[in-house]
Amino acid sequence: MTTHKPEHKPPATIAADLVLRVPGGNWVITTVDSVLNWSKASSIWYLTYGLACCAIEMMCTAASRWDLDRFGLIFRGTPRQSDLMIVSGTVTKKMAPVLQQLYEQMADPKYVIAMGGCACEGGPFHDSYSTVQGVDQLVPVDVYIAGCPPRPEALIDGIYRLQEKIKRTSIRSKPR
Amino acid sequence: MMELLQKELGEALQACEQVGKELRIRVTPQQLVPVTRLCKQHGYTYPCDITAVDMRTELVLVYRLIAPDSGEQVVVKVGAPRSGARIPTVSGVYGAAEWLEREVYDLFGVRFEGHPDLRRILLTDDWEGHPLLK
Amino acid sequence: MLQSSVRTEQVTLNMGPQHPSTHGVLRLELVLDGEVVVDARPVIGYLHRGVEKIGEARTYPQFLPYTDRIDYLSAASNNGAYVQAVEKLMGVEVPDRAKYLRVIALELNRIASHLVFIATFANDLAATTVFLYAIRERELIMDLFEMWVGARLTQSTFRIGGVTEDIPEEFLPKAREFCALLPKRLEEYDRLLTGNRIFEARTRGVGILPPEVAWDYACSGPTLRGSGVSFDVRRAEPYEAYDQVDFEVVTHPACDCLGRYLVRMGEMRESVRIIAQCVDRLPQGEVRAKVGRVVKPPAGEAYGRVESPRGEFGCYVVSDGGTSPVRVRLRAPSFFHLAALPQMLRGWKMGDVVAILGSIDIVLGEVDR
Repeated sequence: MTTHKPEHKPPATIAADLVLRVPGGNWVITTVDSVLNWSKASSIWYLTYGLACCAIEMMCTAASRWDLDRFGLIFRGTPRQSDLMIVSGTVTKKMAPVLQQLYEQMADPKYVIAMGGCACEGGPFHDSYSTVQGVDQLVPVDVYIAGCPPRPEALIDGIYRLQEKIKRTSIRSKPR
Repeated sequence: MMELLQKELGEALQACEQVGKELRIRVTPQQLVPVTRLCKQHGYTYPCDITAVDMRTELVLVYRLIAPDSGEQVVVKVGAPRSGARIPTVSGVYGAAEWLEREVYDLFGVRFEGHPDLRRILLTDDWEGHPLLK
Repeated sequence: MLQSSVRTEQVTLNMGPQHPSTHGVLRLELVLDGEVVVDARPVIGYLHRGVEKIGEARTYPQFLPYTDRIDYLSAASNNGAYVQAVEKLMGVEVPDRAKYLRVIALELNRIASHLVFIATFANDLAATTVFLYAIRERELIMDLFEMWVGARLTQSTFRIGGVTEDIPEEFLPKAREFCALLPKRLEEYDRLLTGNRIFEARTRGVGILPPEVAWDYACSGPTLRGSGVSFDVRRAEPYEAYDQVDFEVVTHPACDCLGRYLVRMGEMRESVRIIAQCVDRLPQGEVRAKVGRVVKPPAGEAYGRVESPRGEFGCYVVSDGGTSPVRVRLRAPSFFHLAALPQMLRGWKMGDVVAILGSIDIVLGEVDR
């Protein structure tokens, strides 16, 4: 006979489940979700993890022609104040522990965008002895943006997708 | 410059060839420091590059010294075994050699005797092996 | 009396690989006595992608896009050194039109790189507006390249024997427009930065690099010319069409951050002059020499050198007659400047570290390769 261990539920999920039992509870949850998701998606502060060439395109996207500030994205220098880590450039084996440490220093909810071929799967350096073939080997990635380097429009498209992804989350789901 | 080197080194100059602006010579490791010092005294004050090439049978260290005023180059080549090579350092002659020799050690495994701080520069400290060897 | 009885110790501060002002993944271990830097130890290798080893596994034409990504702020100069070496080995004669187009690409890249320097240098010293202005100008250069080869940053304009393709019709009028516009914008930066009291206080007399030290560490480019030494590969060993255009080599005797900044401002003005001359004198003809599909240089070695915005960028290619090189060595100027950095940092305060590091304009892609 196997003992069934109840799955640990975060407090928000327990509270939401209670609300759902009340008539009209569904409407409350969806409204709370949409308000929270709107606020999360409209104000993503990113940590520029500018490693290589893609960092320059990220810089151009943040400058005046393709302003990132109008989407609510502001560059923060420290992971403690960021929600999003845009990994732009090649991740080397020497840099890998640093990347993991920075990811752990970010507070939940946090997201990762792999920008450029090197961050997605190694890019042109896929057969090199010193590169990590894709940042998803180190941290979970939400959005992959292909390109070498991707155009600023492609980066903005990736951020749209991230915003859509955030809007699909709910307080009932486990936090990331 | 070619005549000067031939006079100073005599028999010890293993090869000597002028190709365009480059004077390519080959010497033994023991002559490396005297030759570079001599070149520096005669105007070759710009230590453009120090690197190595794995020619499968041996390693060839290539020291490129340029005289900035005339643009003439002296390319000093030194042969070394592919493993366990020990070459005297030229960091006493040129300051740039310190980091350049660290890179050659890191990627090729050549130990430079007398180097003030010989440790890996591009790869992690605990890396095993020397990647640019064939 | 209180001073001598207070026990102090030195602090080792890590200016880590992730830092907004390190211009890439550079780690600086600073040993500080209070605010004063006693020693600085750069730790590099965080972007070592093994490009030189990859070069041995690719054919000669396949390696060309990799050179774009070394010094990614001025892709054409890296291209230029590599194809110079391969063309020397093969004895290829590049047509005149291609030479002039190459000079246009190189000088546009020089301006683009110096604009990024101004943007990041000013940003580090808290003049964020100049960052936005300089990137705005740089977008015009990106537009020109997009019109020509389709890419903005990693352009790969060069090919072995010439350039990838001829310029479209709209290119020359737009280039002339750009040459007319940029000097006015540079005056704007002068008004914002050069005469600015705070900027001067942070850069005048800061981070001295004496010319003897600069030579010893094989510094080149604006880092060397900011110490009063007039050495430019375009004059020392002219390549492409540089012997046919008229330009000044800009130097400044001050050896400090302000001197290096002024050299780069002057170089942008000279680059505009060069581009205007090339655009006016562009000869007709082919843009690529006839080089076979399979590139097999004869056995031998060659060293190609160009004046990149950072200094002398060299490419040493050793061939054994096959389709792939035996060795591709990329001699990157930032590597040497970083080796000289500790000498420039000792004795200055923590706040000056950012100014000095910014003034030597390193790109970690070429330091680590």
